[in-house]
Amino acid sequence: MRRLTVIVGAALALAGALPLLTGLAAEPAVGREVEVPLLVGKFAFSPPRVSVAAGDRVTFRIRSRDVTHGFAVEGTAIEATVLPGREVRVTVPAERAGKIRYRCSVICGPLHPFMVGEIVVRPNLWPLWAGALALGMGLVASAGVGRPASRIDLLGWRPLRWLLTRRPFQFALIAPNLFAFTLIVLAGVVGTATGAANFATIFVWLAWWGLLILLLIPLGGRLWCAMCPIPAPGEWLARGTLVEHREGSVGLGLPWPKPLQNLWPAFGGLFLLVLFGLVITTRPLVTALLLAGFVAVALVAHLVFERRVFCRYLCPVGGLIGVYSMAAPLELRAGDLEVCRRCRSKACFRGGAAYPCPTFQFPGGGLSRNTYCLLCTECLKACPYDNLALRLRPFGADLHVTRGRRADEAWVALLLLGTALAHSLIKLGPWGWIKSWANFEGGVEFVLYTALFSGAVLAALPGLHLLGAWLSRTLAGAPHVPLGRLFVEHAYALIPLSLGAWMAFTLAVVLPNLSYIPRVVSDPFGWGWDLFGTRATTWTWMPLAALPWAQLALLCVGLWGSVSAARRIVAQTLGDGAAARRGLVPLAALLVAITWGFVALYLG
Amino acid sequence: MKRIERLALAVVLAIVIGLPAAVFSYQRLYGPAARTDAIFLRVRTVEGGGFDPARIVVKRGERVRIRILAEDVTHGFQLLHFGVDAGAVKTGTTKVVEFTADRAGEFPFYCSVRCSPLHMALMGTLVVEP
Repeated sequence: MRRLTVIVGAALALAGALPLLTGLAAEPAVGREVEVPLLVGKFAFSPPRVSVAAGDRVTFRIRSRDVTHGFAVEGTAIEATVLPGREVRVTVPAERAGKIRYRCSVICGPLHPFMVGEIVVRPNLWPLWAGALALGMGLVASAGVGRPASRIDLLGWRPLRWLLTRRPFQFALIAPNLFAFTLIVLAGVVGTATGAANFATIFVWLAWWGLLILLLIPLGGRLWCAMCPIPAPGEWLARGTLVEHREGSVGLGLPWPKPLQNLWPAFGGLFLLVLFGLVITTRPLVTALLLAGFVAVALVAHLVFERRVFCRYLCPVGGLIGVYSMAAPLELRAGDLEVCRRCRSKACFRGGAAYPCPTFQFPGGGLSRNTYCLLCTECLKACPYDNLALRLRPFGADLHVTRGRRADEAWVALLLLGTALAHSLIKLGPWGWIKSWANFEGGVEFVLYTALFSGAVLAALPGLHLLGAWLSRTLAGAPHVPLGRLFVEHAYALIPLSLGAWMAFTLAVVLPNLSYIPRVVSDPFGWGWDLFGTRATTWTWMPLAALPWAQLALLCVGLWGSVSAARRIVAQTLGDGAAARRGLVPLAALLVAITWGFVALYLG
Repeated sequence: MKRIERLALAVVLAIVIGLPAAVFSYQRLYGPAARTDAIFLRVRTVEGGGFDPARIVVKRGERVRIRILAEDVTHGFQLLHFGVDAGAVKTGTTKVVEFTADRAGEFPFYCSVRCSPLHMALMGTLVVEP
């Protein structure tokens, strides 16, 4: 049975991958000359999608309906400036089947970086073959191939242990980020309102977000939290010191209210952030005020409550990173639990030679997942037995940990997956109406957008997930298992796929807009400076042709992780054996369908 | 206070106070408005503030150079009485125009690339003193 699944899955995956790869070698065909009148305006092309056959040559007759725009085909040197009142003709050869994306190349307003259009070159078989590839990979992953990998303690390397146990270590991580943070807030407040030319928007939503999603979270989990400058001012004030350890606290040190000891506050904040995402990521002033607001909330939280309740319960980004960090291949844990059991001081939790854990974790007992560990290294400094380990481990290891699974975390995971889909539609899609709805351009439209967004993210996707859980239970023949428990526990299987989807989305936002980074480094405020001589950088990222492949790969890896996790989770909730195998079918099918949805959106 | 605390405090103050101070000083001393080789003209849409400065004063007979920065969208610059037309200045870029102010009076200059619904109202004045 298992062998059969692997063989069928592998055959399907090959059948999907081969036509995609052979498409690369296909000779360009010769086709028709197609002429398309293209009207450009803030912030879309009309028509948004043009469908032609492979070999056709598409000539756009481009006119602007408002200000000056540009027309640049991603991954090629084809570029034109579209001045108002003048028609420009641009010819794009549609040599190979697939999707050609073009974008505005002259800054035309806040949503300029997301002003894109598409040429679909028939027969575009990406969705079909990539769907077969996803289905095949899902089947192979559901059979559970591969051996469990071992863990390596990085602290075995003496210089690293020495570094992490130095008190100024965390300050040294935070200081450079405080520098960038100060510049971001300053640029947002006094710099140009043009998002694409302001250090605040470009550094937060292109550089920081890109690094966070593409590198820091997938490899280091909550590594960002160790260097985040946002809670620093509050913590320094409350502790009354910047680097050294000091007894007593300046703050009131009240306990955080019991009903809020969960991720729901972070969930609420995260929902607002993603709902207003298009406005926040394109307006420097909004970005700056948001970050300054975070610092203010963290400051109050530190002065009123004990430890770091801001990072533990309130920070929306912390909620996001916390849920995704479970998939990361890095963990901070106790070395030998027996030593912790016999330890009387519990200095890591209660405080001793160093501060107690800021997020109330006890490495000797409660700390079995990354979710709330900020990697601040205080426990390393506190432990009198040097009994902590910073381990490399297999990806997704925490997703199998049954202890601590909660509804709030499950809902954050669902929100993140839904948002990845919604933001892909809004920001990467060619449809101008949804961009203007999300951009607050009319009251009624924004209300409609809010209803649509909330309906999709808070009702439709969770509803689908609930249906999957119910089907799993029915197929497995286990009516005694509470449906709510399956809803919560099965949501953890969505995490790798949703991280893969965010990575695919982020790659498509970051790569084409990369040249804004050297521009704002030389002219952070849009004041006409040229600090490093790079203010006029206009290079476009040529390897962009590899983008669809990278997106497909990220989605497939995410799917693999998700189905593998689903297999383990279903075995925990529905029991081993044939029942669990049947129960896995709806969940794996949902995961494959979601993957296919992303593929169809990005490449179809 | 220990030495390391003092050092850390110095770093924090240098960032939080020193960085903004450095930014504003640089803008004042070396920013484009401080350069003497040309008059700096920042262009935004009428809704965003218009020409800055909207009134440029020069002496008759002077060789005038104006460095034009289009800040928010693509703009143009026309000073027809002196035969000056910069063409399109793309967002975030600068162009320099040069002419001799050979007659006295007040002359209007305009944006020549449609930039907003109020594009026609985007204008400024060049004053040539005798």
